[in-house]
Amino acid sequence: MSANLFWKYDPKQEAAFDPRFRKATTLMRILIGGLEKTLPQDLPNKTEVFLGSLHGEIEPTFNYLKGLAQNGVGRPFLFQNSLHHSTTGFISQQLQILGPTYSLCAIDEPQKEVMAAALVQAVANRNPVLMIHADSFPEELGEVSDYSVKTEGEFLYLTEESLSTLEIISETSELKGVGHFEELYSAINSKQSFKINFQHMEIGFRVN
Amino acid sequence: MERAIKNIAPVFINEHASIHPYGVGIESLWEACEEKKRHFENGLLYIPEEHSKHCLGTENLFSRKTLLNEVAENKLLAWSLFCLRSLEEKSQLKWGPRDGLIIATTTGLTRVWESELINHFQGEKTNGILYQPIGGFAQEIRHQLEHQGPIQIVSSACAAGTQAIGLGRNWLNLGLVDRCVILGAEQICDLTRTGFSSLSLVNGEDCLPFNETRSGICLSEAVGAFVLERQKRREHSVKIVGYGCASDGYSMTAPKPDGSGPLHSISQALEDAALTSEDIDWVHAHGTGSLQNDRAEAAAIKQLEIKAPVSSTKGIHGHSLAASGVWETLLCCEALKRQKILGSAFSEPKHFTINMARDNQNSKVSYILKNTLGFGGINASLILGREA
Repeated sequence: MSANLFWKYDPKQEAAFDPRFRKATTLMRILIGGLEKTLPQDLPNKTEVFLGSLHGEIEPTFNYLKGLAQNGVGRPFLFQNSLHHSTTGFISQQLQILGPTYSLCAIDEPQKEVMAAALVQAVANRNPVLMIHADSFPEELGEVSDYSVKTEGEFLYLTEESLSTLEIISETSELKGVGHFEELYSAINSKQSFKINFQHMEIGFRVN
Repeated sequence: MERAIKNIAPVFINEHASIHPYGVGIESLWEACEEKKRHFENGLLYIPEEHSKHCLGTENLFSRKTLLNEVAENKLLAWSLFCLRSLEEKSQLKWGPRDGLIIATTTGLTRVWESELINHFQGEKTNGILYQPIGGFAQEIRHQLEHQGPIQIVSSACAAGTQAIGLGRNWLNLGLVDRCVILGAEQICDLTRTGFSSLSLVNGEDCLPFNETRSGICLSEAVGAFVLERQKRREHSVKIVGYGCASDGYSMTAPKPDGSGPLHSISQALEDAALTSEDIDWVHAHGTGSLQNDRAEAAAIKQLEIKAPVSSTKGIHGHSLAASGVWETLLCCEALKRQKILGSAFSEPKHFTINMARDNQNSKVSYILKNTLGFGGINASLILGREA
């Protein structure tokens, strides 16, 4: 596969209900819909997956605890879909990705966290990477929470070929900062050097 | 696979700190394993109150007012800060811009978060939910340490601790940081206590890894932390020479029975370390005592023709999820230091066609393979060695 791919969830284009995913969470359904439509069948199974999120699978966690509080029992499938690497595991299972899969939890700016982690691994391993950012927030949680986030989902797939010359550079002052997947997609495709600032670390990258 | 970092340099585990159900420091855990202690109650193993009080009594544990009032009494935060303050003292850590921190946890402050939610669901007054459990945990740690360097939080189920070590090694090898502190932290909460039970994965009494009558995991809580550096700082510093990670794409809650997941992660770790299965002197297995885990892990070890003794110590200390990869790595450091391996006290070797070690053994130990398997089909392996 030769092309890098970028996809972003559009809430106006709700996917039809797919009975294969009746037990899946909102995040899983959003992402698998986009991934199945966008990625080709021959995704290398050494692809490394990095999923970053502010809240992870907060929806099934919330619903599990609700059942526990109100009925004294939590539903098993809600637990298995809760905080434990479930979204990333689901994607790996559905797409038969057998490479490393990482679930990252961000303090803020999850896309930057994912990009930094994935590109550092790409420099080290030279494997294709699938970067995913996804978040959702159950409406009912808003009743006890002072904040909420909107439902989001996007991913960027970078091929082994496009990463083959990626390297880290120390001089970053002149580089353009990249904050979102779409900006990274553009920088990699146009072979522009760039930097990512995340959590007090500034990493410069060059594609030759 | 061609690697960009040619001749990957080993990184060293230097100073370390831990708190667990048997005390403070890895030596007390080692002794508990040697003596085959087991203090599970209803399949759970908590850090005793006296240890938490000891932590909370530490001077300057909380050097600043907490960001959130609700978390000031949280034990996981206290245990974590206790370990990190200990590293500060031992390593003269100032948490500058080139001191990285990678945290592995699957639940973080879920215990605080869920109690607020359960109050809400039962119609009682709540303080409101002002943060998310895992990011909020990291944010509070960072605030208390006044940490100025990069931070990453890994929550890839029970492989998170091992993954954190693998990621930290790359930060060091690529020159992004001078030191990287790895923290694995887990506290038993209602979500995990009842959740694993709902999946029939918990043994209500004892954890019996690699035993034919095994029937599930026993949850425990623990915090482990250590400083990873490119330089060896202590006589018995242990080096990380190999890391591998792979998914099996099989199930959300069970490993593929043929063991292909751990087989791939172990193979990668061996390749990364430029070693063969014959070089391994001890396999410190994930060995949770669940039906599926032990079967899959044993299948992988058998296919790789690893002849070294294999054992799991979870029959003594239980399973602390994301933290397990970190503090069990410290047990491996002790094995390399003491030149001794721990047996699987409650295993039944006759039921597994691998070289199960039931008893503790004095032995030449140069390289140890450490495995972790997690929900979502994730597997991560480390190879640890000592300087010749």
